[in-house]
Amino acid sequence: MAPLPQISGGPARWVLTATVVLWAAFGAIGAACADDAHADDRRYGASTQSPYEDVVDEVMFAITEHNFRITGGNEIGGAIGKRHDTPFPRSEIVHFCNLEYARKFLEIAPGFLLHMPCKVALYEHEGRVVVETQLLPEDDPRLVELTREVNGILQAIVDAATDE
Amino acid sequence: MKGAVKLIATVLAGGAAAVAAATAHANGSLADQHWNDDIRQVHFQNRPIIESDDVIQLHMPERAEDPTVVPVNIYAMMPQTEERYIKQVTLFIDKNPVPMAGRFGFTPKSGRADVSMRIRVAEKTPVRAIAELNDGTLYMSAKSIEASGGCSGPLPTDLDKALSRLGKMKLNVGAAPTADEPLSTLLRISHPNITGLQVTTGEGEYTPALFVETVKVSYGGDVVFSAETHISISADPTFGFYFMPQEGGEMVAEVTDSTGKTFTKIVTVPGRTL
Repeated sequence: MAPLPQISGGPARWVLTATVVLWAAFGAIGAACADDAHADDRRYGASTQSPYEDVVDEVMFAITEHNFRITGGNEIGGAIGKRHDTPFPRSEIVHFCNLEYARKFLEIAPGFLLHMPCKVALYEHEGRVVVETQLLPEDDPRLVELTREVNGILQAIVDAATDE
Repeated sequence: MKGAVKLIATVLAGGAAAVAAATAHANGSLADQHWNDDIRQVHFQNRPIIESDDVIQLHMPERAEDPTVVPVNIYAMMPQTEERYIKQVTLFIDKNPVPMAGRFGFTPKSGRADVSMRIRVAEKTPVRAIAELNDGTLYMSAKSIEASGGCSGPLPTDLDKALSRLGKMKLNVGAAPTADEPLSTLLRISHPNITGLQVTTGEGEYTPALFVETVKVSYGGDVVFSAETHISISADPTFGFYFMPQEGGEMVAEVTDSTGKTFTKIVTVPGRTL
């Protein structure tokens, strides 16, 4: 293998050094962006001081106001507390769906099923009730209009439930 | 709580501006035999009804995801004034067991004759909103909706809990009043609104009907919103409407159900800023 060319100094050395540094920096940024594409980056939430039961009512109301059907839920906090016979902060997941949206998504991308159904999490944290949802990914150009529409609804549900 | 009021106000105000005027259907809903021969005769006899979206517009999904809770918004396309106002809007769901879902009363002090609610839909059906003006003219806005089983849907999982909260109300008024703008209001009534067509789980028998019959909301002693409703209104009836704030005062909501029980809720509304 031929030896690497020697760079004796001067402007060429600084240009090379800067190029290497910039290349490394962009690489790191790119890697970070890839990491940020994970689910945590799509979390949207807010919190409120309203009583927990009231917030649950607001979430249910907002979901149905947008013509979504509540398909299920899990009171995870209650289940944990019951198993261990000890109080556990209230926390639950509400699942909901609009089949017309689902049909449109799945006709284009059957694998989008993994992002269904829509869900909202409610939990007590530091004296407040947190309401969070996981927005749909907007990286598929075939679906971006639909996902933005549904994401707008998800955000509206969280906002309505936590607006004081 | 204010989020729900804001949500309703946003849908009412934004939707009224955004909904395109529907074209009147030359051979559309007025020609339906069940409507013309039965429902219309009972409620309006041979009074002419103008099919138009220029006075009110009915807005609802084309297909109900949950037929027991279908959001309905009725937008008034004209302001309420002493000279000309919508005094009543009646909502019909043609193929429901009781087609008249509700009759909603307004006055000039209502500000706007918009109303929102959630309804049960038994099967695919035309839905009609009929507005009657103070001069007696009738206008209709109609849509069709696909749904199934809304009136015989399941009872609340915990009916005893629902009955223990019977008649509890939340009455939420929108943002701080400013001059000349009607305020959006959301009245939520805790009531299972049992249709009489729902089977008690595990017993195979129908649970007797128990539903909200009348609603009257007054502000400063004047009625700003009223309703006569029946089983087509969803459980935990929720009504969005407007009123004109004045010097401030008490808003009183009075609700009676089919057993004659009366429930009352009073909130203080601050006066408008000048």
